[in-house]
Amino acid sequence: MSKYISTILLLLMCTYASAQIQVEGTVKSQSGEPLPGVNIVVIGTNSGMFTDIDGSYSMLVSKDASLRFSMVGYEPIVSTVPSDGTLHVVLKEGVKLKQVVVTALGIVRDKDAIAYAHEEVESKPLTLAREINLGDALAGLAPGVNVSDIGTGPAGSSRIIIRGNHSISGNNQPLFVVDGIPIDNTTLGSSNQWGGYDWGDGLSSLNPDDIEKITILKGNAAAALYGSRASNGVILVTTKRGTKGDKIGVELNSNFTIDQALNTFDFQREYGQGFGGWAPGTQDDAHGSGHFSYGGKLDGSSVIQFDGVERPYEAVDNHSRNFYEDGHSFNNSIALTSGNEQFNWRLGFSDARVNYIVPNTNWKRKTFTLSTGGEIINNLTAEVTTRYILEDSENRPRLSDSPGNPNYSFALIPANVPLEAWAGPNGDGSTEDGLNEQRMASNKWITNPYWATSRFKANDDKNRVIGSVKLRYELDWVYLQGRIGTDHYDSRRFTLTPEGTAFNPGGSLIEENLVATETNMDFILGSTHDFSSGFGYDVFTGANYMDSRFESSGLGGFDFHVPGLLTVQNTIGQFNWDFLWRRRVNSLFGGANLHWKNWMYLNLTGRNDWFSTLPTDANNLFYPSVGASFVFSELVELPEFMSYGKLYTSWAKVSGDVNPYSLDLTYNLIGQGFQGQPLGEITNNTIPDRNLKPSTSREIELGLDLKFFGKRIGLAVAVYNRQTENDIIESAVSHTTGYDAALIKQGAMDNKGIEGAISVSPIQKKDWDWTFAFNASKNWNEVVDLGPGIESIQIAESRTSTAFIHHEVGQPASIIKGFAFKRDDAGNIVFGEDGLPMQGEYEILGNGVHDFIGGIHNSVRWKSLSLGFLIDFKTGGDIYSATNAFAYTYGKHKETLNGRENGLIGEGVTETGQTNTAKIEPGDVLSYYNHLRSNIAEEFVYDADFIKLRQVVISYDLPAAWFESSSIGGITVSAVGRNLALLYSKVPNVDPESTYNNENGQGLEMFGVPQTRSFGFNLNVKL
Amino acid sequence: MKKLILLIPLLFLYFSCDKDFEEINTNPNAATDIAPELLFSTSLLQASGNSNQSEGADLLNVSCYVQHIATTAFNWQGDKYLFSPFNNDVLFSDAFRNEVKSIVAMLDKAKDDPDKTNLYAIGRIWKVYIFHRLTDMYGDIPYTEAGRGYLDGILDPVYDKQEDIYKHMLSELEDATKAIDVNKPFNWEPDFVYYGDVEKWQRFGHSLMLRLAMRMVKVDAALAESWAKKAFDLGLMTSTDDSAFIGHAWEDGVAQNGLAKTFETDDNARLSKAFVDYLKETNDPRLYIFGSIADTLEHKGMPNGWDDGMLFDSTGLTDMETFSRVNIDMVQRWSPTLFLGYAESELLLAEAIVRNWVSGDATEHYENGVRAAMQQLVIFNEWFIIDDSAIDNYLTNNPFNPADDEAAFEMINSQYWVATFLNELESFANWRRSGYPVLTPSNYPGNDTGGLIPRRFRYPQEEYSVNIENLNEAVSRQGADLLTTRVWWDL
Repeated sequence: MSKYISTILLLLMCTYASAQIQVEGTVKSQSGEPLPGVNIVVIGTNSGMFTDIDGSYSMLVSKDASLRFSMVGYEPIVSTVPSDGTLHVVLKEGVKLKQVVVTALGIVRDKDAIAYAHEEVESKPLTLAREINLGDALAGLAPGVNVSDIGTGPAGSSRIIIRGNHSISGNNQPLFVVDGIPIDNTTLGSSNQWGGYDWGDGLSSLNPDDIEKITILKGNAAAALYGSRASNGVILVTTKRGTKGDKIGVELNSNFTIDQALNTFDFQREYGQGFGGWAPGTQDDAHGSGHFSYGGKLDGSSVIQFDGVERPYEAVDNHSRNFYEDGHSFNNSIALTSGNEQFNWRLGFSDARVNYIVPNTNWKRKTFTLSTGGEIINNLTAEVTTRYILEDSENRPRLSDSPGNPNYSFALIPANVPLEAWAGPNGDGSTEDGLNEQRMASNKWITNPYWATSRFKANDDKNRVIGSVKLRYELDWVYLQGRIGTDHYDSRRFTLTPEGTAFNPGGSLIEENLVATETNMDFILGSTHDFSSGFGYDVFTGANYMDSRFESSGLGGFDFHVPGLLTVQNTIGQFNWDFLWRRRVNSLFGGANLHWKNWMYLNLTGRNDWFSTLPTDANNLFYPSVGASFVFSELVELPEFMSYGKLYTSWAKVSGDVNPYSLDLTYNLIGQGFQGQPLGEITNNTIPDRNLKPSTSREIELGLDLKFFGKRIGLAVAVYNRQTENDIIESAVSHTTGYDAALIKQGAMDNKGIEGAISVSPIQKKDWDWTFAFNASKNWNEVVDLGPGIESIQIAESRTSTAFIHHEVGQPASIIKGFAFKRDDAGNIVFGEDGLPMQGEYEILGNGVHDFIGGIHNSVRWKSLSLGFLIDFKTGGDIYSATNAFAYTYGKHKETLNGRENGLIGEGVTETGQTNTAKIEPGDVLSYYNHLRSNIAEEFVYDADFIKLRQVVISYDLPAAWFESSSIGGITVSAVGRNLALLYSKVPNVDPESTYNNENGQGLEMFGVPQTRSFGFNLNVKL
Repeated sequence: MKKLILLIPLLFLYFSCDKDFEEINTNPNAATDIAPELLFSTSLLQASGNSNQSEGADLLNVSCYVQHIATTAFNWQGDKYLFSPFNNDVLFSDAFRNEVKSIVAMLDKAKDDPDKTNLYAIGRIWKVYIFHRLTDMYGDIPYTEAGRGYLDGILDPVYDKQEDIYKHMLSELEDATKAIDVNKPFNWEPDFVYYGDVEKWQRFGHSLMLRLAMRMVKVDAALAESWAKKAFDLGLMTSTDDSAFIGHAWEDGVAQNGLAKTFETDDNARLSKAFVDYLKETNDPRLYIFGSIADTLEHKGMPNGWDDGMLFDSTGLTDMETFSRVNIDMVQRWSPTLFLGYAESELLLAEAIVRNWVSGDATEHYENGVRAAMQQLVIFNEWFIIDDSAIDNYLTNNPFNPADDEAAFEMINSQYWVATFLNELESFANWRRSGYPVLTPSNYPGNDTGGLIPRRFRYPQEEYSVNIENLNEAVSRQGADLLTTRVWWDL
């Protein structure tokens, strides 16, 4: 031992400056065993490596470099490089450096002590991959976390579901907590089968450059301390804070991304606009034919179009390229940071600008962040964080149904109609005088896409402040912590349906103000101590107060007086509204974490919530959790290749509440009345209920973490069983009740699942690193109970009115139901006398939610160059595609080519069992395919399994030598590709992930914005 | 520091209370109660049909079934007997959530209030009006349990047999009109139909009773006869002053005429050839009020069931410009909705007399009906005046012959068909029960009825999703859920 140290000392004295040197050696433990997986970092640079299986290493460093050797469980050593390049190191076992995890309420816990599954995502993949939407960036990274990338525009909302749907109709999205403060992630409006906009959610405000780490707490046990809102899991975001340093650190990051529409359309291009096999004969005829592509075979002849211009009857090239633009995004950020023992701070600023693929759609965000921390007086520390975020969005695209939705009209354009004709003389879809929508079809509800993108407006800006103050007093074994955080934003929205729009010639506008405030206060009194006997404890008790207000007030008007003056005052008819939703939850909680030595851990928590939204006589509920973890690798002798083993289990219960004002029937007045008289109506569309009680869910979880060959191979597996009961279900009910929905009190749903992750690092050499990680999760979801006598409830409906999303007892949540083909006993389709397939039973046609998901992550480093890619997959889901259904009606779908020339005879039998011989004449195939759309949902339900190449990242750390003499600490450049390829999908024409909102009725799709493929460049400079 | 620690128990107390929770959970922008009159007013306007309902049901489908309107455009599915789920469903889904919800809540509030007995009685009459439109279009529907999701917690209302609904509606009309106390004041302000004239409400109830009675002529003539007699004896409408209609207003929403939006935004509707031909054959002055056309042209109806190609093949015309449009002044946003006019009441009475169910002069009542149908147009526009001499001429030139029953039925019901132009659901119901006028169905390729004029709407597909057991029971009773299946009274 002393020999080594003296060698080092000797070498230290002999250092002299030179360029580069090959340094190599072996790292051993005090007992002389070689240590694999020791982390070696060249101080002051980003380069480093791990020791091999035999503890050896070899790397090229500058001669005056210092190396830091570290490994969990050993004291780190810093050493300079000896002149002969040989550096053997012995690491001393010492006070174990424990890996810690930030858990609920910001309590930092020993990783070994955690008795539930959790995932940590470091900032690097987030900042490199740089999805504008933080939620989407989590896709494929963690087992059990199902992220749906919904095509709804920039800064649209995202859907993140952890371990399946828990609640039958409530919110299933996790709670987002930033530096200990829950933030508002309300989806601010989304589209449904009748169209609408996605106004985004709370996640778009977060700048990925500010994020240090994301921890995903998956189970109930993880959430017991955050209360009911955490029952869907918690995503803890830890942001960067000031670090110690004698100078001010600067980090610059610049990112540029190009987005392209991923064209998934594979429509027929053989037949053009028209009906019955004939091209339009006249301008009026062309206008009447609109989007119908049941015309003649495209033969290049000259055919009149709706604008009176004759054009060759032939397929026009590149419709999609011409309509969707190349989008581009810039995101630049700068952060200054500094700190010493008493005080640290970090000041960050970022600016993001996105021009979207839909023309005239853009989004901007500026964020300012100041985090400070320090010790005010002895033992009293404070952290103050302020974030100010400005978001500005223009022309969010309309989705789903046809009015104002550019995607609808664009998707169905007949092959022979050029987009220029639709753009019209002014290029914006207006008539020559510029005053009216240039209508392409007699159906007024299908809006000209250029008119929709040029004249419709859906703008919003958001000012948001998220602030928090945390004080912590520690004295010996006792600590007291208090915290106040608030998330406040106001948002103004302006929505315009312009004058001259076919379906609304007078035009209309809405100006809306949203104000949301969520305030959380909590304090914790605790005591923690480790006794020399090996026993340690952390007991705490505390309380929490959560108050949220959400107010929407607005003015609307329709039919403008003075053209072009877009104010409510300038409208003939006006209306206004004001709504306020309030919710408060008060809670008391407490817990104890006990451990014996470093291998046995026991955690207990309890919480009591009081909910304002429930009846006062049934508004509170206590719920406990218990967890234990056992690090058996510390206790028993394991085979040599096995370096770590932990077994954990936990049981937890969580309760939940309902939306405000769900208890009583209320009334309001309609508009401005009539003939001077007020008009009254019932406010509720959902039947209220005075007898609601808190819902509960219970979860039991069992998991195993193993590591082999040092850290070369890691394996984590968890199984869970979660039972939700007394769930309050908002169920669609027959309109004949007078209402749309009712609250049903005893819903029950089970989720059982298994999730696992394997990571393998086969190569950890000086110049080479290779890490391969695979994660997957399977969730078995079953709806157990929907209330007395209720077998099935409907939660969403397709615009075609033929397919519905249901929860049904004994089935997984969100199944697709609709009319199937009528079939005989042998399974043949039964046709009527008219040759049309007959409608069969209303039955289950598919599963709207994928139940087996996962991702493969691979990263390879060669010297300073690294390459990573992420492939993710989802299986076990289906989709009802209204886009395809309408493509049948309009003759765009390739299937509709059958029968155009010679007619068609459906393959099947008649009602009497004879072979069907009823022929549909070539001119009548429209009726046949339209009949399918309006009667048979089964035809449009597709297997939505997919595999996507989600991301490829190449990054390069510029050699430190290049800027040795400057103050630059490091420069990294990287290139990123997102959503590069749909490797596997069976859904025709649309992306298998398409949906038009982030609500529970998943499995429906209709004319969304196409998914985008992005290519980006990122530059990171540290000063 | 020690003092601070003493505060901790107080903090616990503060965080564990539920003070103010009741108040926090009270919607500050809604009332916890409301006068039933305000719900009644709303139900009157709602029953006149909002723009979704009127476009989907009345115009795009029924007006074409009954051959008032025809077009080559595809979005008017009814013209070609094509089935479109949304337009077929919208009447059902809207009516139960709007007018049914309002009237059921209103009746519940007024039921036990001794000061509101007249309001309650009139509400019962109005409820019958609301439901007869629905059952006529769909057949068996939820009736006794409808609209009671909150009041009784009924989430899957039973479908009542149309026969039972009719019998109940008729007895309701009898009981409710009798329950009206003409000496008691009625708060007139929210009554946008009769402005508090309770006797008019009584006569409306009796004429509605006659309408329902005559619906049953095919299925149960004896029952029809007894109710027609009763309606007559109780006292029918006596002049156009008794006609039930509601005015509308320019503003969007419930106050607006439900038909207006369609005509503002969709120029595809043309008067049907069958309709124009009938008006022309009888030299009917109403043609020039119902229809509009360029001065240089002659009124011309569009055949039903044609597309642009068929139009071109048959006429060489490339557009519908030369065919008669609906006069926009019949369907402005402020144009009234006629619920039940004196004209209809008189025409039905004429038929009852021809059938010898009540005694009277059939010709006199027929002529009253025709005269009233022409005079009532003035409610749409003050210029829509047909003077008495023109009406006299018309009656002279188209003499009514009560001696030939079938001929009389044909004339009466053809007049009814003209008189109910734009009250399409009623026109369609009366055509189905009477068979007049004789309409020739179209047979557009691939239509969903096999070339038959539809006889009803299909149940909304959503009902299969949310109320399937009750619906299946109705379907098994009534027959397959098709456009061509006939409702109980339509044999």
